[in-house]
Amino acid sequence: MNCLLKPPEQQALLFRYLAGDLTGETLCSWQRHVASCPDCQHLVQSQENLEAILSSWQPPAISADFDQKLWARIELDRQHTQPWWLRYLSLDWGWRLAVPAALTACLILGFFVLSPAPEVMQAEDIEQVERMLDDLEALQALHPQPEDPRIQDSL
Amino acid sequence: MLRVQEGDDSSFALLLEKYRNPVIHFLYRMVQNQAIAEELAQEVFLRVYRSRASYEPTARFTTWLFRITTHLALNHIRDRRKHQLLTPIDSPSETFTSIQLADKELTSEQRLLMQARLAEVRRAIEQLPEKQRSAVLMHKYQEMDYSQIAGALSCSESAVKSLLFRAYETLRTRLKHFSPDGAGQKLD
Amino acid sequence: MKLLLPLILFAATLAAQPAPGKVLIERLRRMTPAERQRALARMSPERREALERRLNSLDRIQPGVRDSLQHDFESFQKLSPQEKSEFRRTLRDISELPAERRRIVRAAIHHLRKRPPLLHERILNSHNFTERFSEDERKLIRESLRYLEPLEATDLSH
Repeated sequence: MNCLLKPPEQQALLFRYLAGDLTGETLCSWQRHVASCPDCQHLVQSQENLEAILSSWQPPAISADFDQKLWARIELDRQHTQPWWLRYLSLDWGWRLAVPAALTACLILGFFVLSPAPEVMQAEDIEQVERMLDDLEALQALHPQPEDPRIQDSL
Repeated sequence: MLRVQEGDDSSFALLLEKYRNPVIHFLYRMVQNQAIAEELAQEVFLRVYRSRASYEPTARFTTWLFRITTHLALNHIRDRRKHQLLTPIDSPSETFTSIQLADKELTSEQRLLMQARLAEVRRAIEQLPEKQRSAVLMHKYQEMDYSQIAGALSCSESAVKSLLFRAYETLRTRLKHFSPDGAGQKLD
Repeated sequence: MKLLLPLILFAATLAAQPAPGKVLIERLRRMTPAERQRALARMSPERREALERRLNSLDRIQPGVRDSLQHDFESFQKLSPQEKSEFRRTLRDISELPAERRRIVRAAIHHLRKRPPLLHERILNSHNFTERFSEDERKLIRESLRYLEPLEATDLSH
């Protein structure tokens, strides 16, 4: 490749050109460059060909009952995620049962918090663990290593 | 999304209306199976609904949505690869309904050529490394900009430029023997 | 009124708990291999192995470094969502530097964390630093220092 532009810069300009984002002087400069650069002419042509080919791939129609199924899942999920003890407490038992009910709820909560991990972890919990590990590892990568150079300042 | 956080289901319905097609279409091109794409899309929107309380309005909603979508798509692809449950990508019914038909009637030969071209396009996309595939599909079909794609893929903008550069270069090479017209004629 | 007492008790119980992710990581670390395999049964084997490798790496961190890392992690958790997002972007940009530059930027961050915060800007703009670091690198150092707490200046030689 003999173009004076570096490939990622060349491509970035090309994308902007194909998307119609180049205007004014930038557009004129690009057009002048392409007129005199066989590499870029070839790139423009082949990328335009590729765009046309990719555009021919259209997805099938979406199922008519997609939304209906989704709302049904949301409703089911809502019912399952409300803890049974919260449903229990929201019943009209009167204030006489509030204290023992609260204590029972706390004991149950305490049991679930302190007890061993559930048999199978939910997907969201696993993702949360992975995200936390991402952050931990990123912070760990900032910790000094023996091979790091010495830094001094003049102050 | 902020109104959805306040418990406004009608706002969620509006979000769904706006993003349902882009999400499903993206998933379809990632996993190349419409039924699985819709199943994964259901999971995406269910998670959006569940996460509404913890949604951080600092990120653009599209970025956040496509981060979830890409994550689920990539997990599915990895799980499928491991369990070798590949659906043939050129199953006739999928291919036939995905062809963008020209206005004029096509001869059966032209139709066959178009199907062959489409199968090659799908294979070329499928063979891209996962991150390149995700980046190209978001850039080409969702028209997302570099910063949105970077947010969705949890990488820097310069990494996105690099991914797109490599992906498009590969696709140009792999598909250069097709002409750009709708008949799908091979040039050689 | 009938719900007030249980709600207060519930809120108090929640407030006493560390961040859920941290609890989950600790639980996973404490499990036997068989228990962990059961807990992670939903994951593909490849993904489960990757997660287990990462958890095992945590166990191999030396105690001194672990304390320091835990301290930084707890500070990180206290950041607002926007600050976390910005800091993650900075950490990502640092990780994408060439290896040699990454080492020197890391060393600079560590050095400056041991210097009084009031001197940071002067040091970053000093001839020594402007010669040694590009503007982008100094920006990354500056952003890291914004979110990382200062360290005790026990050893200025490193």
